[in-house]
Amino acid sequence: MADTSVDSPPRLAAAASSLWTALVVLAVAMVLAGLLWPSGSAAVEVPPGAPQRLELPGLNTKAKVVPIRLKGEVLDPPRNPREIGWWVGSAKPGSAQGQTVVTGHTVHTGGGSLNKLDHIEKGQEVDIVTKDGTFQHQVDSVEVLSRKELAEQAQRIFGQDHGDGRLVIITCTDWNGSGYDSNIVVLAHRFNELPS
Amino acid sequence: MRTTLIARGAAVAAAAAMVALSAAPASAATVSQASATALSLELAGTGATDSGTYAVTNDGTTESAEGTNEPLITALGGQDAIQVGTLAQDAVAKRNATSAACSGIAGDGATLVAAGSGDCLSGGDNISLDAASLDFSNLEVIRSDLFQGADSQLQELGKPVQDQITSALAQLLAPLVDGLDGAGIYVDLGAVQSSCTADDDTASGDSTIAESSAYVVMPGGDRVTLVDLPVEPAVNQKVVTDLSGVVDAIMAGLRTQLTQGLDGALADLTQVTDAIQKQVLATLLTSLEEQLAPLEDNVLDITLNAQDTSPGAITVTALDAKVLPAAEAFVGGSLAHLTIGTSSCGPNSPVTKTVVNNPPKADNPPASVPTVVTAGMESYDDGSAGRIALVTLLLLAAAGAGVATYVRMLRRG
Repeated sequence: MADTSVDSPPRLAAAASSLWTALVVLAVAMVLAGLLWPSGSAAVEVPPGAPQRLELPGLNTKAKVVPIRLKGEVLDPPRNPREIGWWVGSAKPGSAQGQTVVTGHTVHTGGGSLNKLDHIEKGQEVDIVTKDGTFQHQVDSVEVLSRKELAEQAQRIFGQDHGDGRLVIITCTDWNGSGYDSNIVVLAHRFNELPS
Repeated sequence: MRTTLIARGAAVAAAAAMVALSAAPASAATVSQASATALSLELAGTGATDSGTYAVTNDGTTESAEGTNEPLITALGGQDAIQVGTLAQDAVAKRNATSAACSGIAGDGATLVAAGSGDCLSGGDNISLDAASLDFSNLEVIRSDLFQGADSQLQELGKPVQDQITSALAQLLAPLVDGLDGAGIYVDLGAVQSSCTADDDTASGDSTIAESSAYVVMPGGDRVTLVDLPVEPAVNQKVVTDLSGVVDAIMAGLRTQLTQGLDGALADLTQVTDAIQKQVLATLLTSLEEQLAPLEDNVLDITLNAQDTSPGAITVTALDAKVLPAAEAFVGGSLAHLTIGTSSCGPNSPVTKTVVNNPPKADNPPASVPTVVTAGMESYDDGSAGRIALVTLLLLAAAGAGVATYVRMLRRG
């Protein structure tokens, strides 16, 4: 009984030391695994879903997305200009076909969700967030179209028989003192998806 | 022979001309059409005026327009009912057999929006429309049958002083009745507008009425609300209103005047007993109520979101108001008929296309896609400025209170 009490401190110290060593090794292994296998999470597929948020990191812009419908042939963004509208007749983010169409207001006096869209550039990242994850896109083109041109090219821009799941962002531009003469149309392709 | 040849030549030319003329409409067929009229006023006795109509048609290649889509309120001559405000009327007709129109009126400061975007106007102040003045000059306060209601015994007693009673009552009530002539019917309008769209098959439209009401302002400044108009009216929603509130106000005024002034007015007439007073006054008030009775019938007939449809076409009028004959005896120099925001769309039909060889196999028709994106606003007030001002005020108040407490403590110390 006395022997046991004499031998205990060295044993406990050894056990603690071995546990500490194991934890250090495990931590190093996990860091190495993370470095060597960084894209492992992307292998998890994010299902298509209704968008909840649009993020334009290059423009420091984030906005809530709400569903909107067509009124005749008019796509009217949400009444709250800080929000973005997702046309429910367009593809859900993450879809393999069609294109996801979102639109938000430009407010002449400031405060519109897409006031900065005219500063976006080709190659910049645009993210759209659903309840299951984030779809990352890269801007392919930025076009400014008159109302007439937009109507003429409506099928190309909004049609759902093509697009391969690309993202279309649209707002107004060219303030003429009393209204807007043109639309700015941003087309972006999806390059990655991150589960939430 | 020569005459015959000339005659034959003329006949051939005439036939050719007929053929050409008959062919012309086919080549210039209307593929789409729409029109808009912001406002039309018909005034009692002085005729009608309107903002004109902006009408567009598309023959499949080009859009043609008639009239102006920038109407000015100042162009509405010959009337005093509306002096300020913003008129809007716009229409588009496309070669794909779709058309749209919108029209309406709002107060100064409203933003105009092009047709095809739904509403034509955004924001703006309210407009007070001077719809009618009320004329009570034909009201007979003291009628010859004033004493006929009293029983014979009282009539005999009062006979010697009938003229004096009549005169005293007329003098007492004259200021009140004369003062009624300043009363007027007003219609207070926010943005009132209609819009429509049509394609080659269907047409639809709607109206919005922002913060609008009809009311009477009495000479003393009292306001009697006749009716508040619904913001999103149902199709062909009828709103009728009477002036019973006005009649009540007038009768209440008369009763008060009689109650407060009658004893003084008849003080010298010792023969007038309470019984005579009571019966004469009952007759007087009954007579006035009978004369004002027409005002308790419907005087304003208002139809909101009036829609007239036919296959592929629609005409929407946001507000159609008429002053009904019941009020004619009391309404002078007024608006007889007012229409605001009349928008018409269709009927449209696609261009008949030439049959091509080996036509492509019919696919499903392309789904409807947007052709207009109305993603621009002039300004937006989310109330944050007010909140910031409130917080600033609270902070200032708190700082003030803190400084005051600090100073008080220093003085005590």
